[in-house]
Amino acid sequence: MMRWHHRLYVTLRGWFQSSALDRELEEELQFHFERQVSANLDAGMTPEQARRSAAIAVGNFDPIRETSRDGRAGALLRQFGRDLAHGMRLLVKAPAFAVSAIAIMALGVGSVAAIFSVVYGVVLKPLPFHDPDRLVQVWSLNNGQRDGVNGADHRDWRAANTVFTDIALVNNLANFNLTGAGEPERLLGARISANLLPVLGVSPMLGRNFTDGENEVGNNNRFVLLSHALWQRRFASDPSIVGQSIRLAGTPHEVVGVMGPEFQYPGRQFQFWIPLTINPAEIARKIPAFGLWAIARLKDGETIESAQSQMTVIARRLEARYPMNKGVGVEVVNLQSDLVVNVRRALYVMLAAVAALLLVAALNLAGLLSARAAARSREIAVRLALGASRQRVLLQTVAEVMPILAAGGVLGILAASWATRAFVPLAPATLPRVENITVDTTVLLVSIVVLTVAGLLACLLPAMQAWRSDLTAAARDDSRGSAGSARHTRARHVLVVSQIALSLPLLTAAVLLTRTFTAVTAIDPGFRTDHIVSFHLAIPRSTYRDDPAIARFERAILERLQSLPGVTSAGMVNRLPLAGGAQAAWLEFEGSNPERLLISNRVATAGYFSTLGIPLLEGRTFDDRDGVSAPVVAIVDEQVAKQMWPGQSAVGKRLRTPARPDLTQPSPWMEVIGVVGHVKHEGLDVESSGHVYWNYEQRTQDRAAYVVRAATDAGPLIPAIVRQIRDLDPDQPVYDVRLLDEVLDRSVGQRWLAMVLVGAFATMSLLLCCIGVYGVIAFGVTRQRREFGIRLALGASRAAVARAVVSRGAALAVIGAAIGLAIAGVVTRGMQSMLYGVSSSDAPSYVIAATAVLVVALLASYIPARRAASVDPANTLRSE
Amino acid sequence: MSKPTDLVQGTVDLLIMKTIALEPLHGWAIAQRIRQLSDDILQVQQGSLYPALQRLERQGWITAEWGASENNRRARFYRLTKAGKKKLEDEEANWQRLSGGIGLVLRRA
Repeated sequence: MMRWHHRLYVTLRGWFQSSALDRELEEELQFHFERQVSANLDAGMTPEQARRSAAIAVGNFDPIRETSRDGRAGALLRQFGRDLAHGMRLLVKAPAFAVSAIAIMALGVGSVAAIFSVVYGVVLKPLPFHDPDRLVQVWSLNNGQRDGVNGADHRDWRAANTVFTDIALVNNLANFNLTGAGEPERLLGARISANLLPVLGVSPMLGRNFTDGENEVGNNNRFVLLSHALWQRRFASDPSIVGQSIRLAGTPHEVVGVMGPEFQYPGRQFQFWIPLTINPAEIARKIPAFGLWAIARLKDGETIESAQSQMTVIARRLEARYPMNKGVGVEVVNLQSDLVVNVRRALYVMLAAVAALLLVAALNLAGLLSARAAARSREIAVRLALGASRQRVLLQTVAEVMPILAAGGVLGILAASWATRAFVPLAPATLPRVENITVDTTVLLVSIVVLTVAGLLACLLPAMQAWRSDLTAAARDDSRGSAGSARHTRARHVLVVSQIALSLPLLTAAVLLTRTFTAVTAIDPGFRTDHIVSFHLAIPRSTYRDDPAIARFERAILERLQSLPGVTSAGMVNRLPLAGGAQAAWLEFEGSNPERLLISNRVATAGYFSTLGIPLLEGRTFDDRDGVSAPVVAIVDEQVAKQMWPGQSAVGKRLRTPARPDLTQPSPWMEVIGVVGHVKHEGLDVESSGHVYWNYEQRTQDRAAYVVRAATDAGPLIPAIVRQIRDLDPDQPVYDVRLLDEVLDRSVGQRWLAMVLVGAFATMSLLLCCIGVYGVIAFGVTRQRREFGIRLALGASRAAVARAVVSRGAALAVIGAAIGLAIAGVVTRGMQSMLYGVSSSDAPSYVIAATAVLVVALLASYIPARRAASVDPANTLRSE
Repeated sequence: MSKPTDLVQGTVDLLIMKTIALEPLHGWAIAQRIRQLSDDILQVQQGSLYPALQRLERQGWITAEWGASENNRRARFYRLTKAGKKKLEDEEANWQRLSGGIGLVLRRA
């Protein structure tokens, strides 16, 4: 026991009191000398003899001092510190090398850190709720298709299950206008059941949660929880807001609480939460609504599988009991993985791409370092010959790389942190959890680990060179080449081939994504986007009490817009194309087979079709004949016309809302007055189903998207447009004002981003390959100047010499490309789901990628080849 | 008599520990004592003595403190620790066995 204390004490002194130890040793050695002198005096020598004899007997103290220091704890570290300083000086002396090496490392690490911060923030970071792994989302399965949950089912699930602590409900569609005290604005909120916060395990930062009573129908819409962001922005972080009343959708709502800043459920754009009330008809299973999200917490000991099996049994029981539940199953999924399921694959592909880039960067750096080490092999050999241990030389090699890694790492992480901040506002709307993307501690730690691994990889070859350094051969002459340096040249060739092999899958992926993007953007959306500006309104029913009032307001806006100078036409629809998520309803089609179909519908004005250039194929569009009191008419798109009445004209045919047994009568028949072109409503690359359009005066909606076509540029019209609405109703917020071109661009934003990012990574790795090939070929040419001189002297043509050099680069590229193609063939299969209109085994894409690599390798070899060809034989032969 | 023999490392450690087993000694005295006890056959050079002392100290077999020398100067005195005493016994036994074995081979071969 004592011994360990003692050793610890000695070690610590060695670390922290090195100079004190030096002084003690000095004193001890001095004493030894003097004691010898006094012994000599005792033996009868003269003082001078005594001192000289003692000096001889005692000998030189220096080796003792050095052994003492080297033996102390921390000696290795101090040594390493000196090596680091030495490495730094070497770098300063070779600024070109230093800058390129640091840039390569910064590039590699920075890209990895940036992409990893996105992957971590979006996919991996735990949700900011209590014990988030136990949170699940429960979906209804309508004939196998995922669907929202019905209020009645929720009630029955809650009563019957024993696997969840509770099941909460969310309806995420609640956008309201906030008015009073400042600009009117439209806010996105969610309706939540009172038990949502307890299920998530969070509570309001200020005030309280809703009570069960506030979820009752009679209590409708009187209470609100504010998001932290809204509270800060709109209410100046005033805590006394709790208990006060704010106007949402024209109705006063009592603020019961404010949530903490980390609560952003279901997304960062949600600014308030109000109690969810469920229509009694839904609870009574009188209307087949499947629009709610069910969030539940697993009890301790339960798993997703056990919950799934119990919920399946419950769903079967409900299916047997209620006709409405026919074919309705249930699916239990982890809440977090469900949130990100659509983007996970794409993000992992990005991460793989950036990892490949980092690997290429590390190999490239290894090549640079190895060439440098080769150039210094003589120095190393001399040091070994003078007695430096191989460990010391090895450590020194590592120490010289450390400043590169440190500088590259710091720069890379700074760049990544800047890039993520710049990226978040640009992130495609389809990317969830964007608010989490930041370079935080986890990202930092991972980056440091990645940096270390990459650094070790880069050090490996030069360190091996130093370790195995052949004393005699290197000391004799390096430039002529020994067995050892031939081995290192081979090793550098392997490095270059690996870089090419790793770059090829990246390039292939970039080509595939570019072809995908081209294919997607070439798709005809079915409408024109040029010179059109769009904006949205949420018209409050508290101000405009009934449908005719809303329709009148909508018409008034339309008339004002049409009379604006510079506007050629204007129209309105309840939801823009490409925005997806339209309403769908069952319709019965007269004289068709199948007779009934669940079909999407939109509400529009006549001007909507002409403004967007949606062609009228047959019949007419809406006009003044189709007013509030006139018979309801419909326009169908060509897809519906073809599907329901193939080979016939749809104009004049009739359709209606079918009866539901025991519940409702069918609606009156409605006449089809026109057929219009099909529009991509869900997205360019999504095969959307057919559409039915209703007239806005006959089927009025309080959500309106206006489209305004300008004679020239639509952008400058925006202020005038907003002013028109303000003139009509100063309390009416206008939101999402966008050029339609931009709407189209945003709909392919995720694909664009994937293409640009992977393309950038591929370009960078190609550039690194270029540097790598150039480096190794140029190195070879320098070593072989003499050989080229002899060849030229013996009559070889300069072209032949140049060809020989270029063909070396080509050989590396061909081998690398062959291996790379094999790798690409396997790994690009993983990105099939990101592709459109092109297969992951698309041969031309591979050919393009391989050709790019070959061309780059040839270009990179060309400069050294010219140098080889321009060798002056006489000069070279004389100089050696 | 031939000139004093240089000692290999392991033996220096053993001799140092043995010489300070009875009483604490400073470095010069340790070298002197080894020389006297071996009738001038064994001589420990300063170059091996002090590194050996520091090594033993680091390993915790011996410990050092400053004290007054026989001529009243400040000197660093080394003594065995408890663990060092045990170590010495082991090493002595080892040595006896080893030298006995070598002796046997030399006599009988």
